[in-house]
Amino acid sequence: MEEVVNNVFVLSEVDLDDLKERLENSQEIILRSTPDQLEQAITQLYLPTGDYTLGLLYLLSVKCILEFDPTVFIQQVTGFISSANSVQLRKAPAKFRLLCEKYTDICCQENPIIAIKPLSEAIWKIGNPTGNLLTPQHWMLLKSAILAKCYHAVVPHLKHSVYNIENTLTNVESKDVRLFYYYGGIIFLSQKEFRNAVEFFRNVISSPALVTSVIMIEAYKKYVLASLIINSTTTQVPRYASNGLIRHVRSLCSPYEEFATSYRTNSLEDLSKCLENHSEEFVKDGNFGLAKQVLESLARENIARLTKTYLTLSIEDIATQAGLLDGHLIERVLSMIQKGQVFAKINELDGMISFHESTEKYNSTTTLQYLDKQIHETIGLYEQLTTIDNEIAFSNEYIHKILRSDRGGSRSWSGMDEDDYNSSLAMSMSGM
Amino acid sequence: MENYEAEMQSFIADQKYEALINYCEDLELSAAMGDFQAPYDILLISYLIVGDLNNARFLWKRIPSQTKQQNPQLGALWSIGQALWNENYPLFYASVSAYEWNVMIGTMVSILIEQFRQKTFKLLSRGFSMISTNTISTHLGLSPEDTLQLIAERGWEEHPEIEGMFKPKPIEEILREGSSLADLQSLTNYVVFLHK
Repeated sequence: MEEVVNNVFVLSEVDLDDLKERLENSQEIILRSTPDQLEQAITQLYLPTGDYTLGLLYLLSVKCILEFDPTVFIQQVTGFISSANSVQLRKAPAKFRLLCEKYTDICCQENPIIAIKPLSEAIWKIGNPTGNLLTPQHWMLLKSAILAKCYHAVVPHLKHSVYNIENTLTNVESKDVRLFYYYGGIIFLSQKEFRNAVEFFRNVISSPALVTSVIMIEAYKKYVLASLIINSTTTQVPRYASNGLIRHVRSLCSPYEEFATSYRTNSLEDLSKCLENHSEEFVKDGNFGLAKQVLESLARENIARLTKTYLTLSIEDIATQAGLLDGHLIERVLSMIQKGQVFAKINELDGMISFHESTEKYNSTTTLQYLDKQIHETIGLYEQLTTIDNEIAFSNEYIHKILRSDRGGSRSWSGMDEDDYNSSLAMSMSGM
Repeated sequence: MENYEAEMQSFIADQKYEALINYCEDLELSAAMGDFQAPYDILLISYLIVGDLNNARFLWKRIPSQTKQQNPQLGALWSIGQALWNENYPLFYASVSAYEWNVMIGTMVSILIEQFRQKTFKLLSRGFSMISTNTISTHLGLSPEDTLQLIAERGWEEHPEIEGMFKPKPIEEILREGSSLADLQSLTNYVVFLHK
């Protein structure tokens, strides 16, 4: 154990790859050391400047497999993450991933909110400075936030465009991508941003897959309900999704399909009955609250639809037509007027509600600011896409593929290849 | 804890409630590992003031039950939140006056009441073509005499034949047309971009 610690002291400044190899080989020794020895080594190696990050990482990740005191572990890992050195961390991303997973598990058992700030930091440390790299720590952060009911804290991570993955740097796997979008969708649901939630869930269900994953099935259930809330016309699995999913959906998600069909009838009564029939299934999936919101959304849609047919309608008529029997219609309509979901004026004298057009003329500074923001975002998106496009166009694999397809699939590796390759490269360079 | 209070006071004085919320949320995350109490009550009332009932509800769910028991003011604040969530106007006005708030919270509760009244008044003028004094009283939490006085001040016409029915006057929104140097900069950027 002494030797391990010494190696860390000596090699951390000098040769990280050598140190990593030695640490890999010394894992047996670390496993067999006594708890006291391990704790002592950890204390010796912890520095606020993070000089011995790599060594500490190996010690802590071995600790994950052993018995340990949760409180001490949480404190140690929190301290470790805040002092960690990015360069050293990136030498052993798999170990860091294991450590963070264990940390998330323990924190979620004790007090999930503890993990939020450290995991946020971990993302920046293992990812790249622009923050567009997806890391395994992303879904761990989202999971902690969900269990801590602290949803708002992680919304910035969702809104920040994350579009790149580097397996060598971050040890990210396909499961991580699905979990990120699934948990992200749940967080958007909590913030009532249903359009964003639908987009995220759609990303999960359309992941290319040979075998359907449970994550995709659960995401599909929420996808259906969230789509109904925004009154989208399609709740079907996109055509580019895997075949396995389409088949499984029919057998595993039938209550949700029925619910969607019932919604289309526009009858609040039918929808409520459907909800009652399948309530057990919805509760088991944790989707009952969401299903109730779908009910609310249908009530609102029914009222809003009336505005397209009638100019004025009595309060009782609205209630019957929309299928609402709870008697708080004035309050409900008032609430919809407040949120801009309907444009109406209530006349208490004769109990009539008159609908009119939106008074928005779109000629104010707010509209201008909104337009401005959207244009800026579009320009940013265009620039991002151009960068990605260029990256792909100049990559080796792409050029090879173009060469091969030009040749019509013939595989003659003669001296001509080099010239062709060079000319292709030159062509793509000048095309820029 | 004292310098946190001073920070929060300055946000309140400047009426920067969004900034106050960000500050308190950050404190809550740090308090998890630290040894100080997160400012739950200030955060809760701030959510109510900016109208973020969603996050107010989640905050209530995650406050530890021990803290809730030790701090009855929190429960009283949440009753206000519940009234707002259910859009129960009479309950709102009842719950804001049902408790002896401490100094800092008391100021914020008064701000909430005033703001809510103004917002509701705007809604009433927008949403009704004919409204009874009863409805106005319930929604604004005012006595009948105060209601009549307010209506008179705002110049709402009374129905010629029926007593107690008023026609709200729509509130004119002032359109501020202003372009600044920043807008010119944006326009220049667009033109450059389109020419690429």
